[in-house]
Amino acid sequence: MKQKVSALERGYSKILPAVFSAIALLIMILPLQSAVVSARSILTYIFIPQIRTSHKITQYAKDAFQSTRDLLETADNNLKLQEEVSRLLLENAQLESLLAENQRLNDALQLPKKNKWQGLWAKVAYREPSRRGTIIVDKGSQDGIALRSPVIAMQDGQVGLVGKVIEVSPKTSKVLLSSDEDFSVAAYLSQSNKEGLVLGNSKGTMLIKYITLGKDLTEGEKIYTSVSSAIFPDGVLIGYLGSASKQKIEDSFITAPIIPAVDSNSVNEVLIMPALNLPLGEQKK
Amino acid sequence: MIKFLNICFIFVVATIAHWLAIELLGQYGIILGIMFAFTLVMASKLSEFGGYLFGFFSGLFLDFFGKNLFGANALVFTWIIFIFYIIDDKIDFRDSGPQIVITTALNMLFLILYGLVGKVFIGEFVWQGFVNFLIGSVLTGLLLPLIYLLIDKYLSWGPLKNNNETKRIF
Repeated sequence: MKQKVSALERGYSKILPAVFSAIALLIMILPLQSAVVSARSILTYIFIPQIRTSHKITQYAKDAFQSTRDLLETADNNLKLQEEVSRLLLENAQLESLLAENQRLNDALQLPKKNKWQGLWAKVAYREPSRRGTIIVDKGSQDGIALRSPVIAMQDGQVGLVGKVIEVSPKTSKVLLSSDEDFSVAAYLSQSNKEGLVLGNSKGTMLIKYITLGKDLTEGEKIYTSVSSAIFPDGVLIGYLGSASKQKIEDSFITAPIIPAVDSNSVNEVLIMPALNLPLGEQKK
Repeated sequence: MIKFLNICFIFVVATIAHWLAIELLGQYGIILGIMFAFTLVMASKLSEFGGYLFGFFSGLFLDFFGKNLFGANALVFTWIIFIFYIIDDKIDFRDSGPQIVITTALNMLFLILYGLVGKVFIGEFVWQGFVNFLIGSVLTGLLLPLIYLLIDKYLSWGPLKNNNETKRIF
């Protein structure tokens, strides 16, 4: 049991609260007096580092909490990705056998062989603010990039057309985006099997023109680059057919808007394919 | 000297814990009286002079966070310690039950007195909200036994042990 010593017996009990109260009152009443200001400055030197330390420790604790959460999330994502990789490996094996079968059938029918898409990945180095229709990428003629090389990109898990190379310097290249009004490419509609010409426009959107009248077009229909294109390989996804209400008939042809598969204005990395289906090495020569 | 450094260390720990509580619970409108709880525990452990000094500086530390009324927390802390010592003479503060009840009640009294000091000096009753008044006070009360236990363990640890069984140090 603790030894009790009453407040009165301890002696200071009346003086001490009075003294400390008086000091506190003085600080409150005379906040601008030199003595109070000096005392406050001294206390600032004592307390501010302490507050900073407290803040740092708090931040560290918060960061540690966040890092732990991120780590757990990463572990979870890693598991999911491993499952995804296993699934994709299986799918890839199946696709390889299908490709081989396709090759055999093509040989049997004596159809022209399709080249495998290949190219060089490049990063978007600069976007011209004055002309939103072009981007500069960090690969140039030194890397084997040639004029009129097709440019594609991957966004949200799908590959789509981005544009074509219009200027090449040793270390950089300028790409004309598919949404620019100077851009055009021959295309076909996947379901209705009709051909048309895809064009960019001044609004930065895309249209497909010169589709012959006849069979109804389906909204959302996929639009691919056509085999008749002189620059682009066959079968590159350009986008999807836009709303039926916005489709127009002009001079016996249908003009329709396109929802691009890849937003060419927001891609960060692009795949530059060899021009005219030539391997990059050969272009360099 | 070691005892003085010890008390300084506890003060620093109190400020860090107080800041942490503000950062974590401030967004919910609850202000845990960590400094307040540390002050009461230290007042029960220290001599009367040490208790008032610890309380006064704890109050001044809290005053650094406010815009107005610099010194108000120091003043109210002094009054609360005065009341605490009167209660401490009558009730054994070493048990958890009294610790929770006394701390909750004193924290509520502290908030009211602080508001009144504001009314007198800046003409405005500085009220920190009913959520803080009720929940904040109860949480502070519930937290005190833990703080008491930690400080008790720390002060009774090896080289820091106070040989004077009458509990008063510094």
